[in-house]
Amino acid sequence: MELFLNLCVSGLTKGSIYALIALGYTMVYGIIALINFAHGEIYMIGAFTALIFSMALGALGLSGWGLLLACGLLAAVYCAMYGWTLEKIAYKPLRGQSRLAPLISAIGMSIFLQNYVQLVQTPNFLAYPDLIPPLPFAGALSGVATKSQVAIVAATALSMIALTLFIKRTRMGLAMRAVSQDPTMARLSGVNIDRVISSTFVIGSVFAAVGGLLIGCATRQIDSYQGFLAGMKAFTAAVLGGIGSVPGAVIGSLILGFSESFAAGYVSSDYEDVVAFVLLILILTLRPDGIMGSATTQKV
Amino acid sequence: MAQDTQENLPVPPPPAAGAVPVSAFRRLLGELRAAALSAVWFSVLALPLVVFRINSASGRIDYLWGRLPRLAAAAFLATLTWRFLLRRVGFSRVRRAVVEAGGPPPEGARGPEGSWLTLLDRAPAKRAILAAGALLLLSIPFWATPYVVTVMITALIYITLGLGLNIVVGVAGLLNLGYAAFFAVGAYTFALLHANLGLGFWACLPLGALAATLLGLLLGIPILRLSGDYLAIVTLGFAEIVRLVLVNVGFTNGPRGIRNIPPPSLLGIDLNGSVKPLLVPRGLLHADMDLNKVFIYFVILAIVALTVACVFRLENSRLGRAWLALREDEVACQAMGINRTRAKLTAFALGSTWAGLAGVVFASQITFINPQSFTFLTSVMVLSIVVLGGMGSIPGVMIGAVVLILLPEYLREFSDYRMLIFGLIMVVMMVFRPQGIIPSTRRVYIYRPEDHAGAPAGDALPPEGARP
Amino acid sequence: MRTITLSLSLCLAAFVSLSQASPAPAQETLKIGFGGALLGSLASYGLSNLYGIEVAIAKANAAGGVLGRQVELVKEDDSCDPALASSAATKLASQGIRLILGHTCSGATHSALSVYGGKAIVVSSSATDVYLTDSGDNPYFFRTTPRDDAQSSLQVRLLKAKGFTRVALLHDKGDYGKSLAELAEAAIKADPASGITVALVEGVTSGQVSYDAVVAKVKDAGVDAIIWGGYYNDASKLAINLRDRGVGAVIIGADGLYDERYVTMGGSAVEGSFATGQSDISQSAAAQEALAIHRKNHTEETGTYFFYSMAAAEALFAAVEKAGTADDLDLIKTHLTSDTVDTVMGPVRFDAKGDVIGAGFKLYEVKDGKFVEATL
Repeated sequence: MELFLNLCVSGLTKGSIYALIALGYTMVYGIIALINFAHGEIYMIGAFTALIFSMALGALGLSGWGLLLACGLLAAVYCAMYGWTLEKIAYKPLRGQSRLAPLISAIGMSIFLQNYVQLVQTPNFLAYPDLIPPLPFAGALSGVATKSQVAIVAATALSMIALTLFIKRTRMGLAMRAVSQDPTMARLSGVNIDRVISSTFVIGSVFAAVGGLLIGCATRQIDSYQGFLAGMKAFTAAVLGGIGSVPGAVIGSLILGFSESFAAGYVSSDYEDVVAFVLLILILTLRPDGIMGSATTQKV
Repeated sequence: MAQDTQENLPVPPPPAAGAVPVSAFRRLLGELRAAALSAVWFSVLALPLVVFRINSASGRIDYLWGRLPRLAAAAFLATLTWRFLLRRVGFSRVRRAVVEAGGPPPEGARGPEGSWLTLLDRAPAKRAILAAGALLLLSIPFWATPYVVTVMITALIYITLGLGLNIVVGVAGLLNLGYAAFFAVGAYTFALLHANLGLGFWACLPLGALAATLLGLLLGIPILRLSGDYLAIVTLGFAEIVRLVLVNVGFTNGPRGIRNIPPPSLLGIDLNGSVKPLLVPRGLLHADMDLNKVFIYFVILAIVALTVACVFRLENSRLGRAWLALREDEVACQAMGINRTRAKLTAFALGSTWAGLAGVVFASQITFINPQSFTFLTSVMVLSIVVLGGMGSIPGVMIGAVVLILLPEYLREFSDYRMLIFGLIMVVMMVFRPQGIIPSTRRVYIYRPEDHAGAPAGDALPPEGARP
Repeated sequence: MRTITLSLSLCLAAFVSLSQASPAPAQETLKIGFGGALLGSLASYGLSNLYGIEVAIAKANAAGGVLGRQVELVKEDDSCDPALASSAATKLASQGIRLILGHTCSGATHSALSVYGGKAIVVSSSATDVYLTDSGDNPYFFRTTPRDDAQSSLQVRLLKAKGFTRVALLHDKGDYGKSLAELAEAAIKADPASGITVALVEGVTSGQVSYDAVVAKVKDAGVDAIIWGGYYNDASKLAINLRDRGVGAVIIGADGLYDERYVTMGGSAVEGSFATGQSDISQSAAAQEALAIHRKNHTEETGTYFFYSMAAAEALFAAVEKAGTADDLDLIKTHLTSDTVDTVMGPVRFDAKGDVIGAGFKLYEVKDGKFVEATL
């Protein structure tokens, strides 16, 4: 029973982490139907900038919640800038080209960013400080979940709510929904498509930055290649849930997180990814457009 | 897909006729201002990562302000070039669109007729270049260093892989992100059959291809209903499953891999022992050359020739046309009476065959394989070859493979910057040539009265690149 | 078609220049090749190799070089990929280099060795796979790292001494890590009298965002000790996860764990861990000097394999010096296997298979944030 409970917590945490990254994939895909391969690298850059600012600000005497918020904010701003620049360099000139061209330029960008961070920072693994201050209610949960697990799940839930409100309630959210439904029609109705696309990248990158910071605090180490595996898993989760759909990304992430966790717990950790991918293939065979994806009927 | 191109063309302002120097000066100023702004932007962007460097030994931050001016200068120059090139590319796209629409080439554009490059279009020049290329390829082992031969073998292996994936992605339009799985199956078939049954290269070559084909069929079944990125993710997952099975199953020796995979045998002749002493003194071979490698080189060269011939025939066959139709519009293709299931399955199976062949050669070239050689990155590399070279185009894929495999080897001179530059080049190539180095040309028949003066109608092919 | 022919001719031109890229070997300097992971996710280990070699070369050159010639290092990246290792090795061999230090990973070393054939002396400082020497295929291969199986038997002795009876074997699913776990399992099974049971064998995916599921399983199995097959970075992540969940089992690792960064990254969670590794020579005069030279040129830490790599280079240089030639491989081999050389790791000599003899190899425990020598 305890094992089951622990595996549930582990699955929930893992799923939440994937969800934070998957949101970026799914939003970008929803708007311009592009798999932003370099998104995992944005997450990695988020972790790095947060670490750098925590060291710089820590030396100035900041600590506790102030330090965490300041680092998170700065990392989010920088990731947003990186995401924005990425779109301008690698994707914008390719708009309207065949769908695979931006995919390859995204892969190029991902290779570039990995090596860029490795060159200007370090090829070594770096220790990450635990920036999350003690949580007031953590005592009650102590046997079940750790502080960083609570923080990750809470942050993901908050991000989800904020994003849903943003999409449902703001003008920009409305514009995003319009563009994702029909770009041409949206443009004709006076939506500035460039701005919508840029904001999508910015918002996705902000979530990636939050993810980078929190996962750094949980695993207590980073390196310039950490974005690759996490990015691949998050991308898988986003597709599983129905790419382009925000709740779908979260559901897909949770399914992936739980299935990996239970496969490791009850089958063998050697096959955790095998089980997850077999499940993916099964689900997609039954629901070819993902769990929350809407089946598109093609008319000729 | 293709018709979007013209709608969304970034249309640059048309060059003002007889532009006065003042406006040119103003434009230059504008460019400089944009470059300066971008230099500032990139300096701010790079601040935490480039300037604030974590010193892991002391646990503090080193502030390397000295890096900033260089970075700003680089950003300034790069922006100037970038904007200049983007303008030119945009302009040539407009020109092509105008020419295609039947209009005259815009002022100031150098038409194809004025270029010395047209010399290359003449048939004798073309034939001469192709013959020289073939001769060069055949002669490489006799004058080049072993290093060149090794790199060439890798490039040829990737050409085979690229041509195979081209069937799936380029021709049939099914995005496959798990091509490495079939490559792995070919390599492991050879390695395992050799280690357990003692089978040689020649017996395993068809078996490896067969195993990959069967796996392709197996994968084809669950993906029949899927399309687009859902298909891509399933192929990715499938490849990961194959790789993880190779890591975890006992008989593959897991991550430690399989050693001592033999080279192909040539009628049982000991090449290094008996043939090499004949060639080296005559200056026909580098003294350090391993003749087994040379033989592998010729084997893979023959496989590439075979692949090109087969893929070319396939593309122009009934099945190939069905694939093309599948790529362009699944629903319409079904409506035309094409068996979609069969077209998809054959595309996957026949595409995988070449990966199996390449896998067998790969295993015998590097003599040691472990699952690490068949990761997602391998699939991505092959996909990049196809897209960068030009989807659906055989010469394009060949050039793409040569570029993407040779590039990292060339860039060895830059040591630490090797992969950084490689990534950047991928982006730049895609941005400036999104249709690939050599885009596939669709056969278009245009009626031009002047062509009918004496020439037969079939010759009225338009110049290349007329239709993306 | 024009583009095709144009690109074709460009490619041909590119080729010709690639083949001319290798200049004739210069006679003035003695070229030593290094192949290893300088890029990619395992660059951390390859750079550690490189740093050690650089210091050894700097020292040799300051003392007048080897055979009276200055030593020049030619380094090629293989990213620990067997295919890239093959081309890196061919590039080194093409330049007439007969003395190689490397490669970093066992897999890459396997494929590189098939390229060198019998035409180069290869001294690795981090390839630990037992087959490399045991198979007898590689007569000119030597290594300064302890073999994996030697470490496993020491680990089992530790288990017995501490009275641990329930053990979990965890590894990182990589070639190095999984071998270690398998060898440890074999060593435990070979000694049924010890009463040690293997309760769990699990792998974690290196670089995965959390290891919680495996941690939950370890907690459920109620083990006293964990034998870790893999490197320090995953181990410290695992240790933090374990302690966060209140699992107190002792972590026992091998030379991949014996790295000061394990302690800096793991903090209090890794307190009480054990690792097998080279004898601690960091206080010796030679080691201090080496560290000083390193710090002059780099701000990076030296890494796991720094001293092993330096010792490998020193042993090779000494053998070449004694052989009086850099070309007679058999003579160099004789000197490597028969003469004991004073290196930064202490006196070093190789056995006939190529494994190191004499490099001290001890057990360490993390105490108060430091690795200190432990006694059984």
